[in-house]
Amino acid sequence: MLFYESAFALIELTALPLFQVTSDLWFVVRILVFSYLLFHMYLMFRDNQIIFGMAVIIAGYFIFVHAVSVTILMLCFFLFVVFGNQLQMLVMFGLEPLLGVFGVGSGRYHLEQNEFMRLEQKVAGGEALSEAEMGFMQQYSARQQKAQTMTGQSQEELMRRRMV
Amino acid sequence: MFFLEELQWVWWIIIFLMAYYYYNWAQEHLAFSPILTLVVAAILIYYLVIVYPWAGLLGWVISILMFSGLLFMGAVFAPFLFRAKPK
Repeated sequence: MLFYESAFALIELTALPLFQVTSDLWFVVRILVFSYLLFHMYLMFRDNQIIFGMAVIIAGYFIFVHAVSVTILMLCFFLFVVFGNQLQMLVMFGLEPLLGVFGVGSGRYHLEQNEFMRLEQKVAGGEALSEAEMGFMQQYSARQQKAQTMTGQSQEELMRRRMV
Repeated sequence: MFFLEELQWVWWIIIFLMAYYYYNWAQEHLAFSPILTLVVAAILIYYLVIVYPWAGLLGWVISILMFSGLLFMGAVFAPFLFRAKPK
């Protein structure tokens, strides 16, 4: 018991000054950020003191009360807006091909197509299909035909609209 | 020791320069308000010079390295320093 108490005391004694240092320096960083913001807001709003004052109050509120949320929001902005195209490229050309191996996304279409072609070759070779394979072939070709008719209908509709 | 006393003087000079640097920084960024300049300079000097001088020194050195253009000089002199040797 005594050992644990002394261990906790040791941890507290070593960690608390560190927390104090980080909180103090965090406050200094907030002051620096607020000064930079003030500088730019003064450049922007020097012709209208009321807007400048209101902007100072709002900026101070966000910097000193919601600093962590603002930081996370800025990080999200940089991630999704500034580096959004990079992220999209990573997803489309990095993640989707990897997941396609397991039939996720457009990979499912390729897997089904490959399976259909394999079964077609099997039929052409004169081999008999099992029950499940027959079911798959019927389902797949029915879906294909449905898709084709739907495209045909929509194309016809488009042409009719153009003629009118 | 002979040189430790000299070191004390050097340290005081560094401390003074750091304080002046942070005061000057506040003056440059908050020139529109003298009171705010004094307040921000007081906070910066209290924390970064008096309470945590090593953090202040680190920030001072890093800011000089980043904003003075010293790093551009590396690119200027690198071709002379790392020249390809003739065979």
